[in-house]
Amino acid sequence: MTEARTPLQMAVRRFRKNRLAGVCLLLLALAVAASLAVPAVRQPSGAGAERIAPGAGLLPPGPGHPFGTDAIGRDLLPRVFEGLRLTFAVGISAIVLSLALGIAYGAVAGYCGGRVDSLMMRGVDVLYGLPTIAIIMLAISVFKGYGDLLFAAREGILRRENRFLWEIALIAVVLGLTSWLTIARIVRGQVLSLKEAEFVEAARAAGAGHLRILFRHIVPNLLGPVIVYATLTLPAILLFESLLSFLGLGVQEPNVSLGLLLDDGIKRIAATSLNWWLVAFPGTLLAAVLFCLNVVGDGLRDALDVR
Amino acid sequence: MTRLAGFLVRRLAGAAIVLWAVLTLLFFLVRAVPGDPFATEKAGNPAIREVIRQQYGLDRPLPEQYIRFLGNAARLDFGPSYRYKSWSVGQILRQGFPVSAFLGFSALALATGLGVTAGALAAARRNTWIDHLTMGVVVAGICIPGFVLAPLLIILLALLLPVLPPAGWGAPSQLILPVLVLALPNLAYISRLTRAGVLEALQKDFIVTARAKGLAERQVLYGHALRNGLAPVLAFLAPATATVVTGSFVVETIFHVPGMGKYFVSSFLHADYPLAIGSIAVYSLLLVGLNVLADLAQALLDPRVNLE
Repeated sequence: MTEARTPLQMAVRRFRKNRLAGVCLLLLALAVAASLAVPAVRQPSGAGAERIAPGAGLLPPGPGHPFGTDAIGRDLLPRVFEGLRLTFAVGISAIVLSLALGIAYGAVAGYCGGRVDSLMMRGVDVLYGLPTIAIIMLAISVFKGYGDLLFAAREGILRRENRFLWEIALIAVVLGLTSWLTIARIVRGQVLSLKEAEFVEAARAAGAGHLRILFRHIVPNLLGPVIVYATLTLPAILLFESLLSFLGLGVQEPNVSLGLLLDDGIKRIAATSLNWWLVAFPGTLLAAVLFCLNVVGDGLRDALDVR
Repeated sequence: MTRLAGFLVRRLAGAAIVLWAVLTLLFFLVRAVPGDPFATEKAGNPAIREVIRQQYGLDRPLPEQYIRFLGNAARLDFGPSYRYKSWSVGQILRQGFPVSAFLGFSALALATGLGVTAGALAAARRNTWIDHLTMGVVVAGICIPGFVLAPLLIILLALLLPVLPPAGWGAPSQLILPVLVLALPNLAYISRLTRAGVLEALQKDFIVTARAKGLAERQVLYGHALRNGLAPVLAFLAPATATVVTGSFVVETIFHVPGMGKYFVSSFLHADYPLAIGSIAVYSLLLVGLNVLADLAQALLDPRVNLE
């Protein structure tokens, strides 16, 4: 006699068979834990001035500072993981925002159908034609400009923590606002076919309203492809965050992000002193995280059997 | 043929609408950025600032500015730069574009040649070392960003083992590192798409037919499977060419290449909006133009493509 299994149990079984994806998921969990624990354990608390050690600048990896130190003597190990924490925070907020936007937009377009649908999707087509980097730069210019005005007008909230939160929120919102198009397309396609399904008919016969049918009955049924797509988009968003910080448009010193560390490292490469650890550690960590996310995303896609 | 012409006209009209939307959005978004782009100048005197604004036509009513902007943009004229005083945007881009385009085409040629070969070989010899090597390169290309790869290559190949110059422009040896960095992500996508396309084509009935009539395996693979598997690569190449040929900020900054890629970022940082709009417009023009070309090529290569 075979046990009956739910689709979820079957998916979990399939995912478990994928060794590499399992290892990568574990590594990601470790990276998240390290990004929370390492900075707290290895770094004096405070505004940051205590971390500076003028005599210990640009030391190569050695005892006491396994990742070396930066130009003003800060231990690189906690800084790398602090940067990773920020990258994760921004990436996850951005993906949540883009999921919310994409699901709502795509679901409404697919459910309404007809002229509303073609108008809404034509809008998505036009937005697809825009170069992402340009829209991101413009949006950051606009938001940053107004933010600076706000901070200048109200001295009271110009505290460091507020400034930091504002920087993070700015990047997360801009990245979220520019990455929902594909999700909207996927959701719309699924909704178009699901809205003809019998359980939707049943819900309608039972007297459910449009909103209830859409968000209680249809949307939960398309979470599989959405989750898969989200895991595969997350690395792209993390990469964009690092790129923005690298370009000097993301977080600013004394806050830290992997992109900012890489930018600093590149500026300090010289023929006389390579200072290789400033690039090698943040770069390897970023590449490893992107690799694991891609493998886990592929594994989820196979396990959930999306396309 | 008339169907093809109609298809082309419709696609070109669609492209023109997208370009108009891009330009309009840019025009109004740039004006939504708070602050005066000339505020940083010595022109603390409001009268002087007013003269500067008049020079750039910013004192005119907005609708008039918009009409004039669209008219000039249609002739690829984006006016004088705010930052480089004696230069027009056209002059600046005309200087940078050939450099970026040369670098970009070199990288794309390398990526396409190597990627198609590796992808086809990987598909033909599935689960051999060629396949594993190709997939390894694919993973590396997707996971290692240019701003990580570039400094590592400089450290390894230019400073530790001084075989290549670390940066600069002019000598052929200075091309190698930036071309490698630009090519790697494209190589990854092209190999992956080719491999998937060929694997899918190999399942088709016409392959069985080709084998049944006794064609050599080489010809089955390169003459039939590869030709039919290249459609996704073609679709990828259109936007990739537009991106790569207009230059990469990261690569051009790290390797000190005098191309136009750096303006995508620096023009925004310095509030040089004509230059920003000009460089984005060039990119968008290439993007929509190449997409139309790719669709056309698709239709010509595959008679089943619906032209309606």
